[in-house]
Amino acid sequence: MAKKKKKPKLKYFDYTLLFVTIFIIGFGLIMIYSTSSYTAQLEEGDAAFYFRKQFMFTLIGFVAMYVCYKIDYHIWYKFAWPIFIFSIVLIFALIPFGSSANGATRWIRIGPVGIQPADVSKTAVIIMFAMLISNNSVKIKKFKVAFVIFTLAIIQGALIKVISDNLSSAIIVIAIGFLMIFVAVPNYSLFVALGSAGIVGVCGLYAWCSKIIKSGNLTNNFRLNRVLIWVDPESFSSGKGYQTVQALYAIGSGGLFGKGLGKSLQKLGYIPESQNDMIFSIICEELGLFGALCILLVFAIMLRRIVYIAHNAPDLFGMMLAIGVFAHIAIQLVLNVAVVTNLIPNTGVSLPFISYGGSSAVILMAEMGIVFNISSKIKLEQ
Amino acid sequence: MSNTNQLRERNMRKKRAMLRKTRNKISVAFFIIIVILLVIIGRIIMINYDNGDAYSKIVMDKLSYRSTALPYKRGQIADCNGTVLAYSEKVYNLILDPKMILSEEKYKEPTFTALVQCFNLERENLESILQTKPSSQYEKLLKELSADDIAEFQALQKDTENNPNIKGVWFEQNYLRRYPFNSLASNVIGFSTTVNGGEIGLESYYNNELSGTDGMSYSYVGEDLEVRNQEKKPIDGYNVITTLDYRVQDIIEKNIKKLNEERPAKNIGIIAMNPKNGEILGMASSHPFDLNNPRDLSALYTEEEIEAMDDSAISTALYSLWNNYCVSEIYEPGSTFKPFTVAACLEEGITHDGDTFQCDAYEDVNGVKIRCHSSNSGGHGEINLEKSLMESCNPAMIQIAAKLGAKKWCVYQTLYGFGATTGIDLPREEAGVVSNSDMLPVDLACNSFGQTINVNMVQMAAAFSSIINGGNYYQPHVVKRIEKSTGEVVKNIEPLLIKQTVTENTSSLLRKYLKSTVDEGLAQKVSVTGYSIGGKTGTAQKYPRDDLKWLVSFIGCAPAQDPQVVLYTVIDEPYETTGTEGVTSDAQILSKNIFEELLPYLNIFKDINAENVDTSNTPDEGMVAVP
Repeated sequence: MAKKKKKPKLKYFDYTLLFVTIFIIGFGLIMIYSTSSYTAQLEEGDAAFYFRKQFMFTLIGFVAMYVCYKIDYHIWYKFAWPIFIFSIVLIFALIPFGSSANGATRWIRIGPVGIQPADVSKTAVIIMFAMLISNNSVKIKKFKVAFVIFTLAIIQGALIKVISDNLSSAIIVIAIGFLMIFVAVPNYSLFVALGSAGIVGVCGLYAWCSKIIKSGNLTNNFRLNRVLIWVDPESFSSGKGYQTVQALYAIGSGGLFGKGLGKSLQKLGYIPESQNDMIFSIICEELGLFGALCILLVFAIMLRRIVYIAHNAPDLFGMMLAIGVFAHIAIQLVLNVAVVTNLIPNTGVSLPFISYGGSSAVILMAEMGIVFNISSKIKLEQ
Repeated sequence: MSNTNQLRERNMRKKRAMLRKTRNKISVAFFIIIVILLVIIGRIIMINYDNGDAYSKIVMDKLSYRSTALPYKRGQIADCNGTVLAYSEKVYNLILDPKMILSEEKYKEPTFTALVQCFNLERENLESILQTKPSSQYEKLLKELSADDIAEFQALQKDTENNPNIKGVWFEQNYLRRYPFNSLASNVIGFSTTVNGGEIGLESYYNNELSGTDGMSYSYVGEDLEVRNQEKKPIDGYNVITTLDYRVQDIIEKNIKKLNEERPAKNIGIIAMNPKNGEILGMASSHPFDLNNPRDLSALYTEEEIEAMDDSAISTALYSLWNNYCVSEIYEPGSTFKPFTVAACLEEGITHDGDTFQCDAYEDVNGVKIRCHSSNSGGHGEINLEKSLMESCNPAMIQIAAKLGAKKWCVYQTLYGFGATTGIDLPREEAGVVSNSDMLPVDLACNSFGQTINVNMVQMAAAFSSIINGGNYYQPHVVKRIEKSTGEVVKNIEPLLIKQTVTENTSSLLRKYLKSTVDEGLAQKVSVTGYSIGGKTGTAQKYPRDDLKWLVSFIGCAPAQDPQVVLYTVIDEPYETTGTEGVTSDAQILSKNIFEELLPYLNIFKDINAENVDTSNTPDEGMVAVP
């Protein structure tokens, strides 16, 4: 170790990742302006209303990213527990201080800024798991240890689900934890079993739902209906399946090269809040199959860079941190696009870096800052 | 020490092995994510491939959900003085939108109350429409309401403070074609329907000019993503200004009607025309019909007859009703054709003013005896050219035509425009039937006095105009100007001089002869006190000859020396003409009556000082059978 330090320091910085990140964020801003300007003009009297707010958060996000890049990532090791507990406190704070939107309490308002505790939870779980896994790098082989660690994610998820009624964030938090455990635990058999069980379960659910729809015995159960809509959105198109069907219409009407940037018709009030979760459908409509493929490709490049950084991280903690960020972005990306294309039932998952949302953008950019810091610690071999 | 070192080393090795496995797993995780992304891409491609067209249509349909056609206004048809003969009036259809009314409970009562109050509609009817067609959005309740009719309801509807819940009723604009003079010039003007546009007459011939372009009221999304309501105004059709004169037309139709009541004939056709430019001043037949109700056959048939008709019989009856006798019927003109024979022969130097001919009551053409009108009185004897026209002598005509020869005859036939349509701006003109240059001498002989040649009335009037106006053949026409609805002239239809038929010398001789015919010849019954009139009568035997049916006519002009109007009167199968007996003077009397009213109206000054002469006992052209 001492020998190496004497060598002239070759500082690594992942410019590709930086470029890709800035590209996606810039593209997201353009799409937010495109999707929201019509409804913003109607409702707020200012076409740039959402764009301006998101732009402000993006600037804050860049500051957060820079700060996290400058801070040695090992500091998070020490703060893992405090951050984890802080995130749980935030969730509990929703009970007295939360403000409601769309029937669910998800926000804590501090002046003009709204914080979504669920977003903080994701980072907290990433740091917590990175710390615990690097502490138990060998012992994690044991199922018991892995399970105990995983329980922390389940606790977070359960709290989010129960207190803020935000199933999608709960799923994401648990999925991030699961993916990190998957990477950390060296064997495959358990995961293969779990994966197979999952696939069988989904197929069974689909078959069961199809049967219910055919029999016409529709219930008033909100969750069950959501699943039924997934199986056959068009027969619910005037009610709960509206958003899903409209998103499909948007994707289908885009064609190969789309209608052109800004020329979506579905965003004109047909897809409610199209700047949020359904923004990918408008991307498909305006930029077509080609545009959607390009965006997914850029995301793939971003994920590939993070994987590269994780591979070459100087220690297990750094590796797991990078994997956590990778999991966060990858899971949200996959879930969001799968929802929009109706591959899975409709849950509110935002598209990372692109969907409208302040706290999500700031947290994601801060996580990217951590990844940049990890990348800067990579020692280039001569 | 070495033990601890060993332990640490083993630990390090373990850790490194773990790290390697973890690195592998990172790659596996990345690979899984990429696979999922590929599945999603496949899904996007599938959505586009399977449902792309259907979804695009659904999305595009949202844009056009509110577009309604705004009908254009069809142009007017006016006479030469601007009197409107046909116009379109804006009317409104009352449309009920049951779906809209049923969308909220509170809409029904006030809406129905207003409808019942303003339009005397039955509430039960409205209720039953709502019940039977709850999802309909278009139920036509009333048709062809005027702006006044709907004003009360619109006022209620507009007063949104007091009547906020009158919903689901709107007025569809439409235009209704109206003909203020009903049957006046019906065969010429024709009528139009909303579906087909112009059906017959000028309405049909000038359909493109009269038609406009429908407008559209629609909402669309602009470049700035604003939904805008845009109204594309309809473009109204052009107005058509005709050469017809309402007064002239009225005089003609009134006299036809009067004669037809006293002495009904099968058909009467009359054309009044300006010989100096080919403008038709009036054109009428004895079968006018109500343009506002063109499918009413009751003028021609009794109720029982109409009921007995099947569809094809009705359409045949309608077409004969709508037929314009003056352009679509062909017939043998008879002696009114003689001026053309004389003019052609004068022009060719075959005969000269003052030449004399021998009339032996008949002419033998290759063994066929063709009789003269004078055959009952033993023939004209020696007769000069002028007299032969005045007395309508067949042998003289046969002799000069034979000298002219079939070849030259046909040249003049073509020059006068017989055998071809005149190109008058009216639909369905018949060209007529003429013989060609290898005709038999007997055909030529018959042609010379207007038999075995088939013409239409416009051909006759146009050719006659040319031989009395100095030889200028103008294309006959009914429309003189096309204007925009604002009055801006789109097109002026100038008199079209097509050809020179004869020279001025010949023309002036003809004018003299024709004047003598009215003054002292067989057309004396036409003479109007104070006016010089030139003209020629005709008594043609119709085909088939054995039926012994006749067509009498008069073609004339006034003033005789400087004609300003040509009048051509044809009576098909006049009253009391059976076999070889009967009166052939109806056409003259009808023409005289018309001239009497027409000439003062046209500001043609009296040009001769003469006493009122009783012409009722003057000789008429006799009926003579044609071989």
